Amino acid sequence: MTIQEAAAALRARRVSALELTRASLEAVARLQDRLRAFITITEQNALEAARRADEELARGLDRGPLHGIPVAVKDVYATRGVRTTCGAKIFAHYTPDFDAAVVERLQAAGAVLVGKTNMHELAYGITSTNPHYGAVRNPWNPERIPGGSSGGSAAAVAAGMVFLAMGSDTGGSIRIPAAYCGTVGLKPTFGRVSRYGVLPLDFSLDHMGPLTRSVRDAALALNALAGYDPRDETSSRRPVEDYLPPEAPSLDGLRLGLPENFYFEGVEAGVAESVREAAGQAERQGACLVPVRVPDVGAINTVSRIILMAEAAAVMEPYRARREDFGQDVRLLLDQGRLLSATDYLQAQRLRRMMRDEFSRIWRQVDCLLTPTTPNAAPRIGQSTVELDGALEDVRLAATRFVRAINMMGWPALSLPCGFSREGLPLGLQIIAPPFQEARLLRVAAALEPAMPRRPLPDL
Amino acid sequence: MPDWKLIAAGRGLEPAAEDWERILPVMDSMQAVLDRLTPAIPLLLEPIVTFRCEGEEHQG
Repeated sequence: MTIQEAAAALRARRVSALELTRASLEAVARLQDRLRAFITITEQNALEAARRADEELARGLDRGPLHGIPVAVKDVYATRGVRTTCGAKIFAHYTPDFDAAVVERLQAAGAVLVGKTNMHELAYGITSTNPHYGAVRNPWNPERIPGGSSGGSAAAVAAGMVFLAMGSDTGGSIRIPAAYCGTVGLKPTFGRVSRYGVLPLDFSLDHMGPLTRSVRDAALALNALAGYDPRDETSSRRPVEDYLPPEAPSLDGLRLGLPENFYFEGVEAGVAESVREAAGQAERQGACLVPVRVPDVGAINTVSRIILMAEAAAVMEPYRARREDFGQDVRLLLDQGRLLSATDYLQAQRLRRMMRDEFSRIWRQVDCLLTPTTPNAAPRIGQSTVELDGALEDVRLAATRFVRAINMMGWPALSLPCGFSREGLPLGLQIIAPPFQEARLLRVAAALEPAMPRRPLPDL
Repeated sequence: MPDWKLIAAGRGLEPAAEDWERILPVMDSMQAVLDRLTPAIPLLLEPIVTFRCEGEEHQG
């Protein structure tokens, strides 16, 4: 069931918010040991919020499509009176006295928060194999990672525990788990959704966005989340739109770019075929496929990593004396960030401007770009390298290869389930749009979604 | 390449020996990319930063 379907059922009184929330909490309880998707479950708060939602609807107060819908947020979002660990031991006892802007907006829209999802420690990695709160497992195959860093959010949505879960994306952390778990994952334009109240990993690369079961649900979430927030210095004053695509979205005349270089190199069998089939579907719906050449995305990825390492090391500097409280992978990344010089960081930020200017020229040729989200399906838990086209690659670098550069640009991007690997694991199509063109992005995704292959989730 | 171990010592960092095996290749590869790209940066190009002069943020 999607948010749209649940919202219709609520208004037709075929179901209540309390029933939806109880079903959600039961699913969370049933699957928690198996999938470790949550760090904190807010059962009592959720039941109270659900009762309130039902009372409001009964007296005619309708807060919109998210009213009475069970949702979750990654444990990187501050929640008043509810601990917010960021997946880290160092924040195990941090209980904020305020809500993040995203949490405020979800609550104002009537959503029911059932818990805080598990994640890669500090949102600094893509496996979500968390050394402190347990390894999140992929609902399609519990021996596989769900991706990360928003792995718990993706697992919770994919397994049907919640309708919507918020993630954060600094180098692919919404889109990678969405692709690996077969959900929709939307990273809006930098500045479109407030970062206020989110424990930062990187001041200039962090993006907030939803993971959902359908494109339209992602649009409904963005309708509730988007907008200016003076508490976030990078928040955009640009007016928001209605992001919900029309019932029968048209792709007529839309120019969709298919990269000739980089994005189809070093990919697992089935990935390129699935994305090209989706592109063919777009063409059959009236879109014009345009072969394009992209700039040196590998270099953009490296420069992005330099910025991330330096900024993350700065954020975590107060905790430098607690080395042993970090997982090994995060500790190494923080050490690497500390080795970078101020000159390295500033050169990276100067290169970022050059790279943005160069990459942005692509929008003269096309309206959206289509690429794989990841070059492979979800690796096994504990797997450190993956063989792609005969070459061994670090699983972290492979997973982020097609998504990281888009954070450097700040552009909106969405991962749409587009097929399955030979082993039956989900694959993702990444759709990228120019800044603040989320409505176009969601329209393309909504047009393609009904034609994408679907399979039922294996029994958990 | 910079002597990363010397820099680490100067900054009071003491990664374990097995950690260095993973740190060094990453630092060297990033440095190589920076060394390749930075000569092309125009002299007057400013970095992307979020600083705004006080008061400016209240303007439309």
